[in-house]
Amino acid sequence: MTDAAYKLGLAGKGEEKGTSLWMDSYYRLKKNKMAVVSFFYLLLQAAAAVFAPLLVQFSYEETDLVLGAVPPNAAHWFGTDDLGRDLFTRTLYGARVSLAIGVLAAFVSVVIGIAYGAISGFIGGRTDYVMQRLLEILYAMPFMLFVIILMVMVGRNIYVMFIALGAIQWLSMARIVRGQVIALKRMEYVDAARAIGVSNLKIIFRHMVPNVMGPVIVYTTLTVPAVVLEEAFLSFLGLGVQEPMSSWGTLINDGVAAMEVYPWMLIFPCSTLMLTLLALNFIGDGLRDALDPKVSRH
Amino acid sequence: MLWILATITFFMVRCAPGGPFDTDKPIPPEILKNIQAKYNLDQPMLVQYGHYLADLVRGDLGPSFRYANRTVNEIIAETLPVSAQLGLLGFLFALSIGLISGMLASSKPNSLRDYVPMGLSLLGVCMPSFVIGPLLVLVFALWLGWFNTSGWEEASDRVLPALTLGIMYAAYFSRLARVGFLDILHQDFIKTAKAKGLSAGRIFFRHAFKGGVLPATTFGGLAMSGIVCGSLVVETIFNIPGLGRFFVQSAMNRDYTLVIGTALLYATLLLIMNLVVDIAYVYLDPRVRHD
Amino acid sequence: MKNLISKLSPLLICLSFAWPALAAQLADKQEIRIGNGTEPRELDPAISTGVPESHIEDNLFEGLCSYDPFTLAPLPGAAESWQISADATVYTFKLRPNLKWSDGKPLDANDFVYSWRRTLDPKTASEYAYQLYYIKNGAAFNKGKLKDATQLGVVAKDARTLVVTLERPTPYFLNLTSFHTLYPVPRHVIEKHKQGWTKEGNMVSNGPYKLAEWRINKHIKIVPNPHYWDKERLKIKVAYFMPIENENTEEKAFVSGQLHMTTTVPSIKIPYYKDLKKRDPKRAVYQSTPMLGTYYYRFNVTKKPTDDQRVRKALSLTIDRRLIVDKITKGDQVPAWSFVPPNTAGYTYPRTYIKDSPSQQDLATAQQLMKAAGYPNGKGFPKIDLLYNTSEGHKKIAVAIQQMWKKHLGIEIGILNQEWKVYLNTVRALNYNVSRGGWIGDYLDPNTFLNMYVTGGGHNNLGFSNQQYDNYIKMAASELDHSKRLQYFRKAEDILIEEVAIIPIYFYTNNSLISPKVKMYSVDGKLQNWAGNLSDRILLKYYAIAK
Repeated sequence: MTDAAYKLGLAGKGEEKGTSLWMDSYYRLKKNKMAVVSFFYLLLQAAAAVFAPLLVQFSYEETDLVLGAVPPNAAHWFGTDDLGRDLFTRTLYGARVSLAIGVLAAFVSVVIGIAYGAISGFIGGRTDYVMQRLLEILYAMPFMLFVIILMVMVGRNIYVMFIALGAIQWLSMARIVRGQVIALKRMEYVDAARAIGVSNLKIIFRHMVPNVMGPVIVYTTLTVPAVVLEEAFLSFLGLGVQEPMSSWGTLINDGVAAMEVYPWMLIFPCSTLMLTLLALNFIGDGLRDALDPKVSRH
Repeated sequence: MLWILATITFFMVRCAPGGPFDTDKPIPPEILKNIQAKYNLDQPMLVQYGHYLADLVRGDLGPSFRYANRTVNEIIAETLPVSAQLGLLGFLFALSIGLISGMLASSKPNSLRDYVPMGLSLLGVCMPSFVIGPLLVLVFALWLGWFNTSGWEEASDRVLPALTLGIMYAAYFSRLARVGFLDILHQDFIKTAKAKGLSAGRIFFRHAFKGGVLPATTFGGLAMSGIVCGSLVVETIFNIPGLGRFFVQSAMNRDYTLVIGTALLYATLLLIMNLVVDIAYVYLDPRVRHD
Repeated sequence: MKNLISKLSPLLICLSFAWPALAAQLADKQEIRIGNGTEPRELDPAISTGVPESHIEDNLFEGLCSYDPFTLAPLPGAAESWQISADATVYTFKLRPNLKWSDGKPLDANDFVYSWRRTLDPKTASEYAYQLYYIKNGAAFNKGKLKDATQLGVVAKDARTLVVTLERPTPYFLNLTSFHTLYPVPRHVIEKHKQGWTKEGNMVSNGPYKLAEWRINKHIKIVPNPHYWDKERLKIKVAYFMPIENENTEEKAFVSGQLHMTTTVPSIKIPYYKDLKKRDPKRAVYQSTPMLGTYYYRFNVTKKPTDDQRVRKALSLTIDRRLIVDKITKGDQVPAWSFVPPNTAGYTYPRTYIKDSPSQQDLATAQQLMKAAGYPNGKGFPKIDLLYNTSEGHKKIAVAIQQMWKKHLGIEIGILNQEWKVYLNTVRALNYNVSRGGWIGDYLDPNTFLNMYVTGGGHNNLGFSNQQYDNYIKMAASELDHSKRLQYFRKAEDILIEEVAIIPIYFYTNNSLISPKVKMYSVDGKLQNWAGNLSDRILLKYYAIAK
C-alpha cells in the first residue's frame, strides 16, 4: 500500500517535471538572445584559454625592452606592456589562471553548500540548530584575512590559492539554500510527499534540490565572478600569481598603475574580465528565467 | 569560539618564516637577543601562548611589535572608528541603492525600468574595486576637481571611498532584491490581494516589501564581511587612517600581536553583525519564526 | 639696550642672509605637506630604523653636529665647536650656552651621556645600537660583557664639555653625530612616561621643530620649537608628514596639490614628468638626485652552479644595464660598474670589465665562460631561481634579466618572489642562488659598503670569504692617512669585482616630485631652488614656501 502510493506519487511527479519543464526551460533559454550570445562568448573564451599556446605567435614571458609599451597595432592586437610583452598573449594566458580559479572554487562551493544547506534546512530541529551555529562560527571567521595570512606565509603558490578561495565560498551558498528549503518545506507538495511516506533523503534530492536550483544558479553566477575578483584582490595586495605568469588580476593591477600613460594596459585586460563576468551573469539570468517560469511570465 | 580563533591565528603567524625584527641591515645577534627579551620572544612558544591568553582574558591585546610606543588596544581604538564609519557609509550606500533599484526593476520586469538598473548593477559586479577607485579619483578628483584624491580630513573625503566600497555590494543587493521581490509578487497571497483590488503600490509596500528584502538580508551578513575586506583596498587607495590598512601591513611585518588582535576584532564584529542579521531575518520572515 | 638688540636681531638676520627682494617672494602661509611613505614605527631616535622616521626625527632633534642640507657636510649643531686629538680618537665637544629642550628645561652634556648610555643599554634593545660601537667599550657594554656604564667613552667634563673617546680613528664620526641614533633624548620625560614618551603631548625634543600632533596613519604635524637656539632661521611654520604607502595614491595627492613633495614616483610616470620638465622648466616638479646606494644581484658562492666564478662572470657580462635604467627604472639611475658608488668620500672605483651595455665581444666571452664551466649553450645548466622581494620595480628588473640570460646564454632561470620577511630569511640561510639586493650607505665612506663582505660579517649573506679581502678592510680601518685608506679599499673592491661575488646593476637615485614653490636657503642664507642630497635627508630648517 505504502509502497504503491510512493511509486505512484513519485512517478507522477517525476514525469510531469522531467518532460515538459526541462524542455520548456531549454526552449525559453534558447529564446534569450543575451544568454545564447554569452554562452558562445564564454565557450570561445574558454577554448582560447585552453588552446592559448597554439593560438599566439608571441611568448607570454619574452620581453622586448627596446620596444617598450606600444599601443594596439596589427602585430600586437592589445598592444604591449612596458616590458614589451604582447598583451593579447598575456591576457589569454591570464584567462587560464583566472578561469581555473573561478570555476574550481565555484564548484567546491556549490557541492558543499547545497549538501550542507539542504540537510540543515530540511531536517530542522536540533540538527539544524547545531549546523547553523557551526555555520555562524565559520561565518564570523574573517576568511579573506586568513587567506591573506596564508598567502603571506607560503608565498604565491597557485594551488594554495585554488583551495583557499574555494573553501571560503560555500558558506553563503549553504545559507541561501537553507533559507529556501525552510520556505519550501512548508509548501503543500512536500507535505504531501511526506504524508505518503517518502524518505527525507529522497525528498531533499528529488523535490527540494530542483526547486532551490533557481537561487543556487543565481548565486553561482555570482560566485564565479566573486572568486575571479578575489583573485584580483589578492593581486592588488601583491599576493597574486608569480611572474612571469599572469592572471587577469595581476594584469589589471599593472594596468591601473599605468592607466594614465598606457591606457591599453588597463583597458584590454579589464574589459576581457568584465565581458567574461558579464557573460556569466547573463547566462545565470537566462538559466534562472528558464528554470523558473513564473518569474518571466510577467 | 574566539579562543579557537586566537589559537589558530597565534600559531599560524608564529609559524610564518621571518620575525618582526628582521631587517635589511641585519641586527647583531646580541642586540636581537636584547629585543627578544624585551618582548618575551625568547621564551618557549607555549609559554608565550599562555601569557597571551592570560592578557587576552583581561582584554589586553598586548604591545605592538612594530609600533613601539603603542599597544594594539590603542591602535584599534584610534583606527576602528574610522573603518567603522567608512564601512557603515559603504553599507548604507549599497543597501539603499540596491534595494531601490531592485524594487524599481521588479515593479515592471523586462522593461527599460528593469534593464537600466540591472545593466548598471552588472557593471558594478564586474569591476574590481581597485579599478573603480582610481577611476573615480581620476574623473571626480583630478579632472573635475570636486573632491580630494585621498585623505580623511573633510566631510567630502568620505564620498568617493564610500562609493567605491559600496558600489559592488549595491549591485549584489539590487540583483538579489529583484529576485526576491519577483518571487514574492507571484505568491498566492499577493495574487489574492490583487484580486481583492488592492492598489499595486499598496500591495508592494504592505506585503511584498518584507518578503522581497529577505534574500538581500541573508546577503547582508556576507556583505559585511566583504566590506571588511573591501576596506583593505579602499583604505589603501584613498589613504584612509583605518584599521584595514594596518592588517595587511602587520601580516607582512610579522607584527604578531597586531595581526591576531585585528583578526579577533573582525571576528567579534562579524559575529555580532550576523546576530543582527538573524534577528532581522526572523522579524522579516514570519515563516522562520514558526520553526 | 639688550631689549633693542633682541628686537632688532630678526631684522639683522634677515638683512644678513636673505635679500629683501627674495624674502618678499615668500608666501604668507608657510605650511608644507610631505608624502612620507609608511606610518612611523616610532619617533624615539635611539630606537627607530626607517627612512620615514628619520625624516621626522631630523627635524625634531639635533645632534652634536648638524649638517649642510645640500652637501651633508658636518656643521655645528648642539655643539658650537670641537677639537680632535692628534691620534683622532678623542673628540672634545663644546656645547652651545643655554641649550634647552622644547619644554624649556635646560640641556647639557650630561644629557648626551645619558642618551648614549641608554642607546647602548641592552634593556633599551636598540636595533641601531651598533652605530655607537665606534665609541670606546660601546660594543662590550651593549653585548652585556661590560656592566659599568662609566667605562664608556663618553664623559661630561662639565655642563658644556663632552669628551668622546673612540675605539679607533673613525673619519666619519662627525657625520655620525648628526645621525638619529646619536641624538640626545630627554631624560626627565622618558623617566616619567617610559615607553610612551614619544606620544603626542608627552614628547619633548631639542631640534628646530617639536611634535604637535600624531594621528596614526593620517599625519604627523610639527611646529617650530620656541626654545631652539637658531629659531629665527625657521621659515616653515607648520609641517605635515603624511604616511602614504601606495605610490600611485601618493602621486595623485601630489598632482591634486594636497602634497608639496613626495620622495617616490611610480617609474612608469617618470617619462611623463620628464617631458613636462622639458616643455615648461619653470613648472618642473620632477627631480632626481644621486643617492649613496647600489642596486645589485648577489650570488650564493657556496652553492652549485653559482659557486663557479666563470658562471657568475658570464651572468654579469650579459646584463644590459643601460637598457634597464633607460627602459625600466627610468629615473636617471647610473648603470653600475662597481659596488661602492662613485665619489664616496673621494673614492671612485675605476671601470673594469663591466660595461653599460655588453658588446658582441662580451657576449662571446660570456658564452665561452659558460662552455668552460661545462654548460655549452646553457646545456645541462641546473634550473635555479632568481629571488627577489615583492615589489613592482624588482619584478620588472628580474623579468628583464631572466630574459637577457635566456637569450644570450640559453639558460632557463625561474623567477621567485618572496614577501620581504621571508626573503630575508631565505637569503640569510644561504638558501638561494641569485638574489636581488640593495644597499644604501649609512655614512659617507666606502667602508659602509665594503665592510659588509668580510668573512663571517653579519651582512655577508653570500657565503663569501676571502682572507686577503678581510686583511685590506682591517688595514683600512686602522689607517689614518685618507689616501692610503682609499688604496686599501680599492684593492678590496678589486677582489670583490673580480670574484664576481655580486653583480652591480645601477646606482640609486632619489626620485621626487617637488612643487616649484618649495625653496631652500643655503647655510649662508641664499634662497635657491630645491635640491636633494645623497642621503635623502630633509632638513626643514632651511626650507621655505614661495608665492
